[in-house]
Amino acid sequence: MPHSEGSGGVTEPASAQGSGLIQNSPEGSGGQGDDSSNEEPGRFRDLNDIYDHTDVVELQYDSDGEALLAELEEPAKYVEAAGKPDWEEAMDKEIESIEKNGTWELSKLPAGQKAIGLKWVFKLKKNAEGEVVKHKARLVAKGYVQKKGVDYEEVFAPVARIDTVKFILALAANRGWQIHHLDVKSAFLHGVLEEEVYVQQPEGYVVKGKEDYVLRLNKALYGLNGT
Amino acid sequence: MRLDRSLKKLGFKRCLSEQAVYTRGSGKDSVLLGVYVDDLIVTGNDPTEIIKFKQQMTGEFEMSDLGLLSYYLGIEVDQKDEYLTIKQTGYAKKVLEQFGMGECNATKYPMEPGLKLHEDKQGERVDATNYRKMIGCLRYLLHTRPDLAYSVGVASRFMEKPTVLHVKAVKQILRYLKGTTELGLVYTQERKMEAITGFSHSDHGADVVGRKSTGGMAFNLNDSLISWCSQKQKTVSLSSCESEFMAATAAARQALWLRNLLSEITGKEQQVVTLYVDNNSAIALMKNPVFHGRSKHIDIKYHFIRECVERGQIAVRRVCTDLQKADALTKPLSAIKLATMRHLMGVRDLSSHQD
Repeated sequence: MPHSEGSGGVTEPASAQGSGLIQNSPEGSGGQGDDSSNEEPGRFRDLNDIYDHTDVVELQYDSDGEALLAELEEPAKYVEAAGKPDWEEAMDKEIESIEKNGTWELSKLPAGQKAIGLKWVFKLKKNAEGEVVKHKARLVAKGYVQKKGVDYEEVFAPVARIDTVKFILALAANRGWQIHHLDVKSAFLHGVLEEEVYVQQPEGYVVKGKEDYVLRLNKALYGLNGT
Repeated sequence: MRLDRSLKKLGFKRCLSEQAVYTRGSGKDSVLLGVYVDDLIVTGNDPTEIIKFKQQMTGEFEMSDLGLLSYYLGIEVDQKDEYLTIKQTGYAKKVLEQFGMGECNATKYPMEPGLKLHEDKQGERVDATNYRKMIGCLRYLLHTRPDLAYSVGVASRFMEKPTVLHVKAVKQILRYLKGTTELGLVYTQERKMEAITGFSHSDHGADVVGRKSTGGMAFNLNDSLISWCSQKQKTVSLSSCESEFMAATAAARQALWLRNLLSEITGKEQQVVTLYVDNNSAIALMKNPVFHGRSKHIDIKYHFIRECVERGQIAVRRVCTDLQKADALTKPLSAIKLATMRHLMGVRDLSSHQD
């Protein structure tokens, strides 16, 4: 990035927009204030303004090397993933799997209920050589806004202590018992919810004409408390 | 949640002393279950009961049956007719590779006998993150390696500001590991009624930084070592008797938990846990409810063990130092002594395991 040029281009409108910024406090300081803001505009820029001008580093449209770099990055939010075929496909898959499971249904939000926000989380699965093998998109609920007793009851994820495991092994050995191993698949998605939980429609998958609808969960999502 | 409900519907009872353990039935058709989120181990007297359980579960969940347990939480399990073994050979080798010690020369002990590792304030600092990573990996190995517990425990005390000196100590542990990757524990078939015995020990004032003692405890289910710990005590003790007393108190708490667990799992009445200590005055202090003049400064909480003895939950016995299974958990030992103590604890070389 050509630094001097870039910063010049960015700061110019920043100081011009003035009003929208946290900038200098009292209007009363008058002309003097204007002068000083012209001298050091960079210090008073608003975050939103910075985002407006610096976001989406244009790597992916640049030379080959840089495009590759952008490809290998994990998007932090939906807007960064939107429009990229690999991630779009990953999100489609996640939505498909959730809907196939009957996890939710479209519904009006009853009065007095709140809808919990959803967030897309993106992960690149790499093999031992560091090559990307899979793009993974997972929809998670912002479970931290839930209140105990209102949105969920008990949190319970049983984890045996390692001493307990050894205890069981020693007991089985002493008695000459066989020990078998089972693996329950996707324990999370199978959890049926006790409470009524509503979530907002996920970014990028809002049903046309039903933008004000929410989703009523039948089964748990990642991030949700009480599952 | 769902798993819990399903298991209860299938007639399982969740243990109070360990919520990840479920039991069903008693006697011949009893089934015992351990849960680690979505990883289940199941055992029982009658193989047909296990098959029945698997079928019941398949009806409820999407499951994969991994057959006889051979690998659980990074631990390699080998089930034979007369015994089973647990080891972390694969993990140990991976750790050695990861820290560039795959081709190093092996040593006979993880820490120089008599070594007093200190803060090394003047020493050259090293990357703390990498140091912590090494400690983290080594700590995971402790699940099957009581012989490493003391040295790794000591090295962990310097995670905040590690120096070249501390890295040297960790490299020594890794070099010892290099020659002992095949070590693991053997649990044998004895077909005796299960009983728990414990050992507690301390090395008085061994830590040169704060002069605190290191306490160690080890617990057996019959002849199988199932639980151990090596830990710097929280307070400074004024005598070896006092630090032994504190170590025994810590052990007593663990003893009560194991005692509950055993009783719940077997459905039998709670039994007395024998705790072996090698300090006569500490034993006297535990058995005699009179406050000695020399011990009146000992915090009340440490008299918990005395109560356990009075209630008949724990019996304290003397053990000679040679048979003290917690000895290796409180101090660095010489090669010969370490090999003896390792054997005493039930650690065996499993590359050629026959006995």
